[in-house]
Amino acid sequence: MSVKTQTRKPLTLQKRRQLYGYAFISPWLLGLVFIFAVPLVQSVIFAFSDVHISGTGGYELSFVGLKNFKDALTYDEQYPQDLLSSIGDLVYNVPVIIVFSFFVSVLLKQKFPGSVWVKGIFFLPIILSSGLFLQMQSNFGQSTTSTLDAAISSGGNLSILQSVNMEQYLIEMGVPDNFIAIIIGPINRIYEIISNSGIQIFIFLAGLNSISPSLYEASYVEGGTGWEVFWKITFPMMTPLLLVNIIYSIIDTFTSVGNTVMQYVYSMAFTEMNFGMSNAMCWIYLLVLAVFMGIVAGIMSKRIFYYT
Amino acid sequence: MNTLQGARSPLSKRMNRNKIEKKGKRVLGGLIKAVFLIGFCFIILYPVITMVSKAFMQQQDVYDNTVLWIPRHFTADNLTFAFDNMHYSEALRNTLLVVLPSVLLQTVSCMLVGYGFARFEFKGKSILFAVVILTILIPPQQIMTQLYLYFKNFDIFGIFKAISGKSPNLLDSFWPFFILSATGFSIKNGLFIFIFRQSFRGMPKETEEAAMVDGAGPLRTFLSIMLPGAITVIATIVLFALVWGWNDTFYSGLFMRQTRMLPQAFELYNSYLGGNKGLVGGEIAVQLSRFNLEDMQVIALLRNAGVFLVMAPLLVFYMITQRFFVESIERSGLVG
Repeated sequence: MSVKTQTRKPLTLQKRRQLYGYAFISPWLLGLVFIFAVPLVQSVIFAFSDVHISGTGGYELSFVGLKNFKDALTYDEQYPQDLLSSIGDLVYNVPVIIVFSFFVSVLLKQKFPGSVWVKGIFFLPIILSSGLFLQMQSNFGQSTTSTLDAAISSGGNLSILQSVNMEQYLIEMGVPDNFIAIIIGPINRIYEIISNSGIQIFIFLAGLNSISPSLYEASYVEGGTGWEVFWKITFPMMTPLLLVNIIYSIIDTFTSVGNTVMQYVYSMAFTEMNFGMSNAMCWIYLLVLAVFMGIVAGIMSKRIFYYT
Repeated sequence: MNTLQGARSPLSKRMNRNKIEKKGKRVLGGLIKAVFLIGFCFIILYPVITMVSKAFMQQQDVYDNTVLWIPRHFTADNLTFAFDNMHYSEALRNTLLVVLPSVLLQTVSCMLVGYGFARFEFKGKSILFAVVILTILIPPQQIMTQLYLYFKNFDIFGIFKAISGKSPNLLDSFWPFFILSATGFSIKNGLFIFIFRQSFRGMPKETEEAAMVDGAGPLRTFLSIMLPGAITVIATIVLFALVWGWNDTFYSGLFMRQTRMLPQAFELYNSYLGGNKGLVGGEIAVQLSRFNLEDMQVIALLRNAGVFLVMAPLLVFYMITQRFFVESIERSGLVG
């Protein structure tokens, strides 16, 4: 008798808890079906079809196979160029953003007078940089990329932030132009880099705070220097978050509304009204992104250190 | 005794020197850090400072080389010009009506979903959670045309069509935003679900089980046990949702074709200032004579006034909640 109740009760409880689980995620499940899965499948279909919008608001599809994909890559003048340049930007920007945000988070980790305020200021880019502020500052007249450039050209006097002297110096030293661009680039675009690192800084910061202080104490007792402690403790403990941040940065730069490819895809859909082409372009872009992230994750996964 | 003291004094001297060296290093290190941090802070704050100062600057100050940041002649003219020509009150009202309920819906639904994923075992859970991660990775642009058409001819299993004979057009209404938010598919909601799930998983199970044993249902347990512990995370999510919703140009541009929200209002205003006079039409003539719209410097003032109007509510909100926010994000379950 007692054995029976013991075996039956957990079962019913388990089943009930299953139902509760579904109940809690039910809003998301509904959205998954109607707002995500169906449109995603439709998007695949659109990419392989010619889409005609009829006057009543409906649309007609006619299957054209891979034509949209071929056209996007070979016939269209702008798309392949934009695609390549945005991949180039990514390869260059993401490492700079990661190094910078790691550096800043290590600086911010220590307690110092006013540290709460300084952290508050470093959060500010999260508010300012989510598209609108940057766009508003930059899309005026000249196609400047950063607020700072816009500020300089609109009469502000901020020559300290331009590394003109440094550039001159490097040119005189005979350094090749490409290298100069790589070195000077991050300095000239420091505002853009800072404003894209907001979230990354705080992911790193949260990670740094979660490293147990006893590890540091032990290594200092053993006579480890700050340099050694950084490379033997801090850095290995941060490698999982390094991957998270790299992935986040890739997605963030690839899918931001200001991205040239995304803008082109948007205009292809809503000013050219070529929905099929726009969807095909989007899928090509997403595939590139997936390949990119696969490579990064593959390289990183062997070097990540999990402390458990 | 003598020998001992003789041996001790060089040692203590050495220790003293060591101490001074260490102190020197610390001061130097602190200085370098301070230079870096102050520099970065300046770079972040510089555009904000120029924006605020230009928003309140009179035209004559632009040509005065002795005026850099603090205007000599304060004026609200720029602001009133931007206010009128952006139709600010209308745009602000629309933005508030869209963003505030959306933030509330997003927070509640992402929280519930995150809790469901954190605490309950059900079939297909790991696959569904992988789909959550997938929604973070797939850009919303991928499904924008479908969403646009979906909300243009909105219907659930043909119910609306059966009742009224026509599926309603939800574009230019607030419904698309609310539907996306309530189902957890609005801006970066996958990330929110992920954060909530991580932080709920990090909470102790014991009190929750005790409440269950005492006969509280799952919702009751959630509300009275889990919710108070999650306040900091909720604050973080609310701020993120608010900021991203406020600055969003993607969804508002997609769904609001005629209705003016703050980003569109600013874009129209900006392109008017840039010389595209056809866009705003005759409405703008109000204070035209007072500003020389051929002058780039004056246009810069007016543009900054517009930016200031759009950003000011967010900046004020951030200033109030800043300290709380800094603490909450450091402790939030982003990592655990």
